[in-house]
Amino acid sequence: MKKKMSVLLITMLTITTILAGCGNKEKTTSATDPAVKSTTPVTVSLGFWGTAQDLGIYQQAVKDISAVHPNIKLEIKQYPSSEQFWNTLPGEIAAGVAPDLIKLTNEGAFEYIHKGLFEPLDELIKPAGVDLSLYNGVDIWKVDGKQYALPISTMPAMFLINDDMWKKAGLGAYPKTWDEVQAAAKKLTTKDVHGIVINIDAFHITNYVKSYGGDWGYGKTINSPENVKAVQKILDMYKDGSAVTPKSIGYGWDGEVFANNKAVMTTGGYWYKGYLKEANPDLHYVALPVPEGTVHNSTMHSDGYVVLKDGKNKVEALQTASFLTSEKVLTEFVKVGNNPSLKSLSSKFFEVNPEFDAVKPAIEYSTDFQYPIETKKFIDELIKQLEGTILGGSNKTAQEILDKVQEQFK
Amino acid sequence: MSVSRNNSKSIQPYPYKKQSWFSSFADSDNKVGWLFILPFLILWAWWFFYPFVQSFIRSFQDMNFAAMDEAKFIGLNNFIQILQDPEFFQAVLHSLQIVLIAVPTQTILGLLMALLVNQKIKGKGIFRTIFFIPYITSQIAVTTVFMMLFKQGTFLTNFFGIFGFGDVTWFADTSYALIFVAILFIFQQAGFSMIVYLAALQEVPKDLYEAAGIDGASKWDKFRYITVPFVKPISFFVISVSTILGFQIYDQIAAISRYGALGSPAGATSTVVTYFYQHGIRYMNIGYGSAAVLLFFFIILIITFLQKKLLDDKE
Repeated sequence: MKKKMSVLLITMLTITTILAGCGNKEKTTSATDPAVKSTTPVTVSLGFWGTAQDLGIYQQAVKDISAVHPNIKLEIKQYPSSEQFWNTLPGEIAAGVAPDLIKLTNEGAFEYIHKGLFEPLDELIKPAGVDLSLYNGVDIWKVDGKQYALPISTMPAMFLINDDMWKKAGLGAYPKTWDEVQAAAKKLTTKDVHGIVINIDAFHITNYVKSYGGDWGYGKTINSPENVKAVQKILDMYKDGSAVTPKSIGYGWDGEVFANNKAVMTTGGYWYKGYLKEANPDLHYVALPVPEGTVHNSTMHSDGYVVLKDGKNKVEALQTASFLTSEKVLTEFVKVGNNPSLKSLSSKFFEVNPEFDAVKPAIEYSTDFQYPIETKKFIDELIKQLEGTILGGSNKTAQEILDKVQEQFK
Repeated sequence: MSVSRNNSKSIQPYPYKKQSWFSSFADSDNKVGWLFILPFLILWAWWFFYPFVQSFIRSFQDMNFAAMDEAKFIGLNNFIQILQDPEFFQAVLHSLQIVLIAVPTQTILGLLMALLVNQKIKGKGIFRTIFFIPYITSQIAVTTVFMMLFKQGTFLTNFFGIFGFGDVTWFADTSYALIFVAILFIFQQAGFSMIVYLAALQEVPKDLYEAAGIDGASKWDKFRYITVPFVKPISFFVISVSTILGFQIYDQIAAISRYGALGSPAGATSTVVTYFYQHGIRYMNIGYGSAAVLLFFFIILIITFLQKKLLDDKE
């Protein structure tokens, strides 16, 4: 009996020690001692992906936030890429280790909003002291009448041309339609350089689709005649050898191909400014609206800060978002090419970024992505079908590709 | 049963008494042993057994990350759906292809490298280090370097062109991407096999080789009749571990699929693990993903069992 008792006690002691080691010290302290809670700043974690310049701005914000919100300590977590961000986030949410506040784009947010992972901000706005009337692009983040993000920026997609290479080829005026782009791309293509890089990625494909008057209709119009025309144009440019995918020449994304002078034209966005400043500061480029297929249309990108539903300290998280969208912080983002959401800074954007001046008209007509609710599944299927044809030589037509994707989203 | 050592004295059998689990645990002879393994057992139960049970339960549920409280029991529906999905069978086929190409190759390569560095040659320490470095290097780093080496127009793609391979970026071509993954696995895993085989080779008694030499055995005979039987149990270990790791290959594929859909290009590198990850984590359908994992678990279990049976029978 004595032996049994001693073994039992040792076992219990071991379990208790291990479990105590796994416990959350911080939680215990603040929950039991109100005095500690009132004086200790609350930690708000922010997750984002972006360029080295974005990181620099956030690192400065970490230092500055205590002057405005002494109750908040900001921690930042940078994800290596948007793909890794979207792949990692669900697991982090399930494990309860996701950041409290996330910077993301409207491109992939709809699925998360629909699945209830983000906190509607309506109840938090008043206690956090946020004034939505100061911002542009508020409606982009409204779903079923509820506000899901504090907007950071709104900016349409662009079409970028390596100006030095274009001028060297003596091609004259910049192209306004995809037919003109294709003709120019053929002339610009040499042994080492391709006329255009088309990344097999939903963002880029969507811009072609929109320029032909199509859209995904949240999954209802994937194989519409307009979308088929747009995808056919992409396939045609691959077929005649004037277009290349980043992957097939060993690069990760279109920006890398463009920065390395391996392609003269590409679809892209404001993030090119920050990226090219680091990757190839000598590259001279022009930014134009996305060329016309049959209509003027392109995607409208908006970054925003969302608060996770299961996050801690939601009010403080929104206060942090408010700080990060203050004039001081957003002025820094303007310098790296973001069109700020703050109305007071709107006029400054094109002054600071004259290279984006030609894109101004696209702000009026560009629209949201309209991906299906199962966004990631849709993106994966679309990429898979296109890669099968472009990289795998399956010889499917645009109609067959989109019919196949549509099958999954009836 | 009794054991007699000589005629004058016989050893009496230990009086066997059936013990309960707890009394066995409390027995002073076993207690120290149990206490030594107790921390491991607790952590194993915490990190492996509990998640396994959770995964088993989830596999019969319709459950989403976003609404874990609303999980519904749906019986075998997840399994039925998986078994009706051609993409699952494509993923299983790719996993099998990787294992069938990579495991025998890296096992033989590991043994050959071990034989080489077990010789009395100059600088064998350097060779051992060089062969082992890929195993301890980050998989992502190795993959990134290989991605640069296997780009269209590089020395390697031109070299393989001599053997009829196209001058294309291997990881971006649906015909070569899976071979590229297998090459990566072989490159990294062969160092591990080498170390294990090296340890086994050093245990082979030298006098056996000397005696065989006196009897006129050739180098091949010595290898065939002394080395191979001695390293056979180790071969089972190497093959089993490599098979399991081959089925679990993920990092390399994730690196290749960077900026694109997992299993890129066009699903050519999708495996059972990427299938699970895509459905369970990326699409947040954890019930479906758990069912895929459970099927995957049984596939590995059956294959390992067959491997053991095959090698035991030959023994």
